[in-house]
Amino acid sequence: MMRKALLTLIAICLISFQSSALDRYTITNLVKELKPAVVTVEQSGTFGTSGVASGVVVSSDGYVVTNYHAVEGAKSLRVKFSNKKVYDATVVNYDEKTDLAVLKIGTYDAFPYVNFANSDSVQVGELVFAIGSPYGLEHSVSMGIISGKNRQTGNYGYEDFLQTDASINPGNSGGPLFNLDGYLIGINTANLTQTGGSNGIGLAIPSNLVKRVIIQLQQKGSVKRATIGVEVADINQEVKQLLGLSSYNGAVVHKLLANSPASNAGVVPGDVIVRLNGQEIRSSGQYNKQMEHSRVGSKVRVGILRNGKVRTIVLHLVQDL
Amino acid sequence: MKKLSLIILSLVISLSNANALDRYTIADLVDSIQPSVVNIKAEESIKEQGDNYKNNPFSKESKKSALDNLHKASKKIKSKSQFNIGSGVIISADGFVITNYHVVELSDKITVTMTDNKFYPANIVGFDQKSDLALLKIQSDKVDFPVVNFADSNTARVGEMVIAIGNPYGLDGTVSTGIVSGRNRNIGTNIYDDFLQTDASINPGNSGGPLFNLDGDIVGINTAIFSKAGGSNGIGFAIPANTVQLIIQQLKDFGKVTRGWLGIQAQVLDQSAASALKLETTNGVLVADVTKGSPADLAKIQNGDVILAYNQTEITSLFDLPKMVAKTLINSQAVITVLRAGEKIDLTATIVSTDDAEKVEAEEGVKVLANKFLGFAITNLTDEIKKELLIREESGVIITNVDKSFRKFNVKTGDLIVQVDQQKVQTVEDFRQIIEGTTKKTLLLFIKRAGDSVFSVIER
Repeated sequence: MMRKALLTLIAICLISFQSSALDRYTITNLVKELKPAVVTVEQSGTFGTSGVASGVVVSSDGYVVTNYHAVEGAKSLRVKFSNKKVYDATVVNYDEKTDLAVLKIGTYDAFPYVNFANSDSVQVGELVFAIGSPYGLEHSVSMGIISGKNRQTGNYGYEDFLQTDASINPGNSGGPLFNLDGYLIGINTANLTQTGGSNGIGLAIPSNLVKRVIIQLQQKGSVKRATIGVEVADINQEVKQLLGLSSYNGAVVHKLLANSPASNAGVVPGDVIVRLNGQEIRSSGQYNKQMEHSRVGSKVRVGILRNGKVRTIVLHLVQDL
Repeated sequence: MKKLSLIILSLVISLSNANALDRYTIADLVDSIQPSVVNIKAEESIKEQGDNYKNNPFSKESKKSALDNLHKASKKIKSKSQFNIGSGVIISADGFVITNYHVVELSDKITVTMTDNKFYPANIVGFDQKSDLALLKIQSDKVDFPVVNFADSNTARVGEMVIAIGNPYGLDGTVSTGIVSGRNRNIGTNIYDDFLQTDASINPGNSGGPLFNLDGDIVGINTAIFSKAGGSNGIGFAIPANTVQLIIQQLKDFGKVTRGWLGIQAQVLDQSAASALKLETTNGVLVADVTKGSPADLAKIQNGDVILAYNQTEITSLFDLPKMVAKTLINSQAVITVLRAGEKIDLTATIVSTDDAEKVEAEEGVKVLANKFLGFAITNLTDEIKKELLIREESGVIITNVDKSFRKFNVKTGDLIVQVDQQKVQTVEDFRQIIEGTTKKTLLLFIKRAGDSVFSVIER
């Protein structure tokens, strides 16, 4: 009995040790497995020049995810695999607001592809690695950790970035960020930098957002986001003080579209959205996520905080252009 | 059989011991140490910026947070006040916070924000410009602020993994990792420099924030970077925890830092001087001048002595000695081993504070040295100095001391002068010829300082 218990204990120890402990080749082994599904995206005519980006295959029939800015305006595209095979590809559809594009490889074949991680459960400090083509250096691997979550830069219409200190350079755009399960955790998209090169602050679109966008793109051909005509941001210390707010909860209106349902109803910049259809709104990310599930043409009840008072207004949702 | 199982079990346990890493090692540590890391916002009413910020890698530029773009469209809700952002770390449950002096410099309102978004006003308890450290106290009755401990930075090893947490470009709670890349770095800010170097990404806004080891203890305070454009190039510098503790204790007790003073002008012992003195190595420093009435003078240290050891610790570079003297307790005795006429002699000096030094110098005036021009002393660039100050230039002359009267100009100890009035300077002799060959009152110096190029106008 004792012996059996002991053996079980050993087995548990061994399993837990094997499943998460790292050694010097942990990433090497994962890279071997994943590299075949990562591609270099080249705009024809710019071979070997700055038109190079990265992408990742997400289905065996050859759908590739990359950044929209990497393929914007391209006449024709080619994707290059780690085995040096090159295929023509076309942009199937794209979503400018998140900066995502879906490509389809022209040739029919069974391609190696990656699986998606659940990016909602990613932890700050967790080890990650990027594979891509920085400065055209194909299938470069760089390692780091998740430095932060839910980052916004204000440069894209819709953003909820993961931040990493893995080196992300020009050419990494559109390429995958993996966790140590070898699952896709994000699409490397941007870089906070003063010179273009990596300063250790890379930004990746989280895999769950990528997944939602791809599904919409595949089902409807485009991402139709409903909006009341505002762009929102999180409440920081300054905003909190200036508006005399009692908490950081809510999403503050920082941009108002003319002739939109919100502007027609008298919403002004500085108003704080605290409720949406009866649900409490704590952050801009939460507001955006909830709007994503709303339909154009339907109505929403919006709780707006101004001068210490919350009033609820009913607004029509229009399409966010 | 049972015994065998036990052995296997203990083997397995030792394999998965504290030193083993897994993918969540850092994530788990972050959960426990991040609450002690704070964002610091230092506002100032003075709108004018001094020139001295321009050469600081963590200059006022950092306040232009990339996140400010977010609120570009709504000018109404944007503050117009001048402010600096930085990072800090809580070291006591009643709310003492360490940060860099350059983060809170000139500020009249400091706000400390915790990871849970709670924020508190804070005041400066004390600061030390030379080490670039400041001690703040959160103005709150709370006595359960989350605290982290100090590591013994002397045991930090090159190659050891470290974690930086801070507020780069306003991205609060940013975690970055790397290793200790080097130790005892002198980056030319002043003679007391003794930084840990790391390749963890350190960017503007990380200033004043902690660098942790994998025990979750503070191994350093992130203070500076080498960078051409202002962002991380993987070369960050942190003040080692042991130095931080020494300084913070003094700030807590006295509100200021007192450093020991010996009263000599030291010079690099180059190969020609070493062989002339029949020495086998260039270890030690040459005494170029002794201030009258100083501890060195009273201990009978003379010009031309080679100081080989300080309190039995060998001097291997010019920059060792001032650091050792600075750390010596005021009014305590130090044994100084000098080589004079081929003989080793132990002399005993009573170290006084640098505050007293100023009194002595004021009484005695400042002596003119052989290699002293205008208001500063210079020396030729040797391989040792190049290594010590991480200088990449091939030639030039190094400023070893700046007179008080000359400190109003933009020249600092450790600066490399490469041109005077657009004429190349390779040696002290070149410098002398240029200076003596002109009667111009103002001179233009082209200086290299910690990788930056600086033009300084001086008047004689």
